[in-house]
Amino acid sequence: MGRTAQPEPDGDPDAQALFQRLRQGDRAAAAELHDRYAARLYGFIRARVAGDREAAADIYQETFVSVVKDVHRVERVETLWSWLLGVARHKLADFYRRQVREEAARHALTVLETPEPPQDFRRVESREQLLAALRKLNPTHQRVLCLKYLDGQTTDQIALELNRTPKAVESLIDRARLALRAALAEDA
Amino acid sequence: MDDLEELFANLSWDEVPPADLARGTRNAMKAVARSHHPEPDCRAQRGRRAIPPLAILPDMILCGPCPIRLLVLSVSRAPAIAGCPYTEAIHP
Repeated sequence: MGRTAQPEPDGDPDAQALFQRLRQGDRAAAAELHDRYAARLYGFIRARVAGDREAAADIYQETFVSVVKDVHRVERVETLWSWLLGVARHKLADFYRRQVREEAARHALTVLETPEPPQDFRRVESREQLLAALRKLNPTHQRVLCLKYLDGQTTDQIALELNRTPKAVESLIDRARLALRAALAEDA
Repeated sequence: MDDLEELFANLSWDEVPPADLARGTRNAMKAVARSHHPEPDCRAQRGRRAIPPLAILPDMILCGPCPIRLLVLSVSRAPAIAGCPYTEAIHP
């Protein structure tokens, strides 16, 4: 039995029709879905992998292929975009889980020096500056900052997503913020 | 207000993906769509049970009822297989 979501409320009369065509295996519909959301989805993903183009490319491709592959399991979607976002978020979560595992393996071999975080927050002038600083963070810090500041999730929501207590998430966010400030200061 | 909120507000943008990535993904989507519906038409499977070059690679998915496996993570770089409508669609 397929999953049931809400009816299409986004005012796009073509969206539900496109979804039904996808369910029927219409190749043109698959191409149309791609063309309609390619730029929006690629930007969404790039922002959440600290601008990493290679990671963004993999997740972008996995997301689009997955939605077409699994469309027959879904009976209705709220909107095509929210459907794509849901799949992309799962792929991002998988990506970060892999990153955390790899990071743990690296930590077993490396003694890290923790930089002293600056007391004052520096003004960041460009998006690239922020992305570069994010790339210096460990995957857990990257992810928690994205969940909080890009996705606007509450502490409780993040706790559910990361399988931690809300208290632990608050502490994690504090440490991630300090690490980001330190990374920004290094670039100054 | 949290002072990082303003910073992260800049991290939202639309960006056209690289052309080769977009083309490969688009072709893969079309191939996967066709592989699931309505019936697989697998010429490559006639007379042989497996496709060794793809069968040993990781990160694969099964294409519906068809035993052909399509490499998801780098589907645009998957080799074309003679007689296979899915990989041939990616590399026409």
